[in-house]
Amino acid sequence: MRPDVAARIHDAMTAAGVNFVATLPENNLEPLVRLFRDDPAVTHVPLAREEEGIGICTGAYLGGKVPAMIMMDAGLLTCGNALAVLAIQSGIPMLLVVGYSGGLGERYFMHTPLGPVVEPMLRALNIVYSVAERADDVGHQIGRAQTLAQSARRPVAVLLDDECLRQ
Amino acid sequence: MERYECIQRIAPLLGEALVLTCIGGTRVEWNAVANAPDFTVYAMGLTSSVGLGLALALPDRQVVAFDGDGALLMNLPSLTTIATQRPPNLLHVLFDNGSYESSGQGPTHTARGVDLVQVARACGYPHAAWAESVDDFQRLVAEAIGRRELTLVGARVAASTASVPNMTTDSLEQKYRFLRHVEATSGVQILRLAPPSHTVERTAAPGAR
Repeated sequence: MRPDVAARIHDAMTAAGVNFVATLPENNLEPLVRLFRDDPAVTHVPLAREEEGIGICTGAYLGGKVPAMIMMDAGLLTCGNALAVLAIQSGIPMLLVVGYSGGLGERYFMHTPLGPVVEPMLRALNIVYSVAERADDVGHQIGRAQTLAQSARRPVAVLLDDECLRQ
Repeated sequence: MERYECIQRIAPLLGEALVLTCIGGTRVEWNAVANAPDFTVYAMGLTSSVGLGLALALPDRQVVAFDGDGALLMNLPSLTTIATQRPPNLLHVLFDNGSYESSGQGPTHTARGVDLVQVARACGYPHAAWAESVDDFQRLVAEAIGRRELTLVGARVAASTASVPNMTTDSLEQKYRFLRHVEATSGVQILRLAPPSHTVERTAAPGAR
């Protein structure tokens, strides 16, 4: 992720009110994660596995924080039960900022199994999502996603792809 | 030791605490003695994670997470993440009955020698101990609340649930009751709803929500 794209995403998240972020790093996400690591205004919790992040963000919300997660789509796939049984069943607003590997433009064979299943998984969970491909639009999409998460009291996802992840 | 006896003994100590329960008998046993709304984490394994998030969000409140051996085994990474964050206001209570008690009574790995208190210590919990008796359990919980450092208290208990009334709230109602309790006792606003649009027009820029 380019530093200017990371800054756009960070700034859009904080402008939308996000003040608690749970992350699991990955090569492309690292510039974004680093901005939260160094942001004293946001509580940052590095995770060992993504599923615990859904629990941590739920607890943060119940304590008055505005939570978000940053993870890859591979991690999202480990969160199905936590999303359905905890976040969705209990109605917890949560912004999911997800690196989209395995789709169009994917160069590494080992990630390609993810491409066909990420969006169907989100649809199966009834999670509203958007795919952000262009850097000049990603901030707008993140702001709108967080607005919906708050009003619907549900997880909402933004999938970071192409210029918003790899370039 | 009986879990319900342990729970009854520490309930008076937790009057001001925010309590999270796990699935299984613990949730109904705590519900039978609780004098304030608690929140049950129905996604097995995630009670300690919810406890971590809540403890970080409200550093001035004592948070208690009731966990089970089967649940904690399902989310061992949580011990490492909690230990690295080290919230002083989190008390992690582990009832270890060596059994998937509420789902068929098969043995968990703790019945085959895994010691979760030692795992917590190895992860970096500054305090983690097994209670040797109900009196000891009560003492360890009281110490944990008094000292305000991250603590795990383990109790090896029988694989049985007391005959207590069932709960009458589902997850959604429980969440609202719990968050209203947090709002009322912590002075934070959790549920944020957009104001009516005619109010927005007078008080905010066009397009703001």
